[in-house]
Amino acid sequence: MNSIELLNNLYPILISLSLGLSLPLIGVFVILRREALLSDALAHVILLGIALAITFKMNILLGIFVFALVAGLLINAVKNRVNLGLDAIVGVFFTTSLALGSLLISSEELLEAFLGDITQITRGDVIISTVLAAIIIATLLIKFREFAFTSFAPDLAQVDKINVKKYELAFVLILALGVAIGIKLVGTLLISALIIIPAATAKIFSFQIRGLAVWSMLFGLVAILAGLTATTLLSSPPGPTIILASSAVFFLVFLVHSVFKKHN
Amino acid sequence: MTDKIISLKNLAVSFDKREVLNNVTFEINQGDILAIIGPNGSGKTLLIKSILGLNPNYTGEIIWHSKPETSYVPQKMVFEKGFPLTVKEFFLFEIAREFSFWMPGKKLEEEIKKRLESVKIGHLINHRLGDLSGGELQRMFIARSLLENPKIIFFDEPAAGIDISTEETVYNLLYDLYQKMGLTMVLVSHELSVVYRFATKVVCLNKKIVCQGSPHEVLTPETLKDIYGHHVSGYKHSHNLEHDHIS
Repeated sequence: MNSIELLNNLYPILISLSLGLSLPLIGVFVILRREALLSDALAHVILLGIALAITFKMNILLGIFVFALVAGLLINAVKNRVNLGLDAIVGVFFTTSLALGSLLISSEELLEAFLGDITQITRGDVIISTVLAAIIIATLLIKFREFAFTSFAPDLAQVDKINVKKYELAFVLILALGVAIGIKLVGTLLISALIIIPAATAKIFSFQIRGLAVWSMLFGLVAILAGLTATTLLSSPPGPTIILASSAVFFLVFLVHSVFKKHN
Repeated sequence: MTDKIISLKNLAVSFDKREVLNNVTFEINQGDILAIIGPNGSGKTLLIKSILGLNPNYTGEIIWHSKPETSYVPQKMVFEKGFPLTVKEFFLFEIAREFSFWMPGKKLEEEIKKRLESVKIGHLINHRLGDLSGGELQRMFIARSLLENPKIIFFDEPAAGIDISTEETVYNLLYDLYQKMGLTMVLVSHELSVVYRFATKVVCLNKKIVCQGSPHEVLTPETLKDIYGHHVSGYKHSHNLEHDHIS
């Protein structure tokens, strides 16, 4: 099935809704916690998962999820114990995963893993992604207060008897799942952009964290819908096109906000 | 008879595998205003963090005899000034439940407003945290600490980083709250004058307990020299808590 046929059925709508809403909502907490590097790190480890799944002829999605969850647990375990700093951990260990993964698979497969390929998304992938995205969105919205409180002021949250460690672990696992479901669409190189850019766009003008969440989700949805439409019209690769659409929204909002601010 | 709230027995506290405090034993009773004093790096913050369960690196015993509603005002909170979070939302972190964070309703808003007005910053309810001055931020933290009618509040240098006139107001505010609400307070402070004026009990730290008791009895030139390692002037600030309340 080519990408134009794919756009004519339900998959793109489900993919747009599930990724466009869930990943930017995760992004709100990523920027609140200043852990933008984490999503990159997870994507690097997942590349190794993809490479191993291809090498041993296993299900790629299974490789993605297993490596995402293992990496999530690993990061959560070492980030507060190892005295290296998160950026150094990412710099050393996760680029090693990237290098290993790159060596294991062919250039064509590597490019596909780097940039994503919507034509490779199966019905099973769509169903799994939609269900997981719904779980992520529901969890983050229902427990928004707890996730935000433990991210913003962990000491105060703990004195208020909220289990901070539980929410930290839950967030890393949610981030890992988010990266895993988005990777087939936009690839390992661009997935963190899909998480960060919509939230960064909303942050330009938001005054409240609740507004930040709602606007991030809206910008994420717009970026994916605009990106997929442009892909159909221009026959361009979907991953980079979606990210460029997201960047275009960012610069547009930045420009409008700057002009508006100047006139007030 | 005074009711014990917390007992510390032979506490040794570490930071980065280095022992900062050892052999710390004292009690916090209901109605105390306990001041913890000591030079920089003497482990004051680490001590209250240990009591609050925020620092697991200690040996010895910390016994909570009851489970009173507890609140904490940190020395400082590092956050990005430009992050979109309003004072109201920061308060909702504590008192909202599930979806009421998204739609707080009038009752919750009024509760927040009431607390902010008690420290005279009701007008800041919809301001961003990053837009508040140092003094306003400290008042906001104090108001927040009162949200769920605590019985004991831990203040870690509540006037740190604010100017002297604001500092005076912050301590007067704390003392007013103490009188009105029958609180127990644990206060880390650098200011000896504050300790003399407000504290009913003092614990002096410098790697271990150097002195403890009523400030007027135990804070002698000799003990102050033991704590700070040099002569401290102006220690005789003979205000009586019962009779010399500043309003």
